[in-house]
Amino acid sequence: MELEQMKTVWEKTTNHEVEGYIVSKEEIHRLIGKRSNTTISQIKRKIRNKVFMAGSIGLLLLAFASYLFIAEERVFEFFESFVDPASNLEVGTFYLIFGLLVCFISLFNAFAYRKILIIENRKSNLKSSIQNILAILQNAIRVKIYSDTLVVPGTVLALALIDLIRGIGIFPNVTVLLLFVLGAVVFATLSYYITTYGQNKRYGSQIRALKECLEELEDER
Amino acid sequence: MNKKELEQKFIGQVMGEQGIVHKVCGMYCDDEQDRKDLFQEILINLWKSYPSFRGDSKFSTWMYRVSLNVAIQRLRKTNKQKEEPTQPIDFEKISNPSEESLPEKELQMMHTAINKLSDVEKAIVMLYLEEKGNEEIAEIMGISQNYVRVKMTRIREKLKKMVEA
Repeated sequence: MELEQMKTVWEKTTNHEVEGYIVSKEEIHRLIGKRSNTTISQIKRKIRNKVFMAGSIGLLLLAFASYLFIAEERVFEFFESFVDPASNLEVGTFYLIFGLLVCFISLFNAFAYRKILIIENRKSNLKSSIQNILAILQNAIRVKIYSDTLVVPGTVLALALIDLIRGIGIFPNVTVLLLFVLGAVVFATLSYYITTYGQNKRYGSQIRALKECLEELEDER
Repeated sequence: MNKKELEQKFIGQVMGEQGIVHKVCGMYCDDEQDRKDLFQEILINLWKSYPSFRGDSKFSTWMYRVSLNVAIQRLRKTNKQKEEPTQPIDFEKISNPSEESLPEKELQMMHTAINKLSDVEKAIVMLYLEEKGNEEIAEIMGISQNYVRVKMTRIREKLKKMVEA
């Protein structure tokens, strides 16, 4: 009965109320030209920017590494202050490793972006839309956590490799090297938990609420 | 069809059905600014999804689906209304209109009742109030017709409890 009463009010008032909000064609044209601010759109923009930024930096590093490999004269004396000046091959290897690491992060994000587009393009009703949004959010969180966690241990690993091959003195002995590796692991672990915490704080309530909606839609007993 | 033609077609279709978007905004928003923001967000998302609309369902059904999806998705960030105390519902005034029961007041009372429902229930109630049949509600929501009936019964009970409380 209450719902029927509501229907009477709805019929009596809503159409009249809506009339006051009707906008012109020009206004619709103006509005659809704006940028979406839904969480998914924001996530997509962030991932796209990361793909572009990391991709550009990675390619620049790889290009520089290639240049060092083919250059006949020593072009960069970065390690000069250490035991002896480094060769182009050594410095090139350093940039190659960094370039590959940054490109990997870019590719990782590019795959995540592609996955989001695939999920978004699925034909969907409200229930599957919520499932898709949840999948996108969880996927984006994972990408953010792993790409953030990878950077520091990746850098330390690159330095350790160079030092192992070259012995340039970044790590004067095994103890210092182990301390750096341990530091990198601790930093990566902290980074993992801090990023996870940050992402949960940012999207946690949204994910919980969407899960509640989904449970409500799936609660077909 | 080029982008300009597609946009013209889209605007033409939306102009005829934009009431749907306003009703969804009214259902899920408390203040005018929020309503404007949601209206804009729904329009942008409708436009972005428009190329994938192949006419498998009615344009209005598709509009409800996208609009409700954006409203529920977006609401996560600003959903405070459930915790806010709401005025008790006096349905007597609705069923027995008096001098005080002006349309605005009735509308306010209806929104107070709607605000006590969950987001999913709001969507179902709105579609019901819009005279949508169980089949169309089920199609929009992605649930079975049987479950639509179950949900409607639960909503009725919930509203009844609200009045009795």
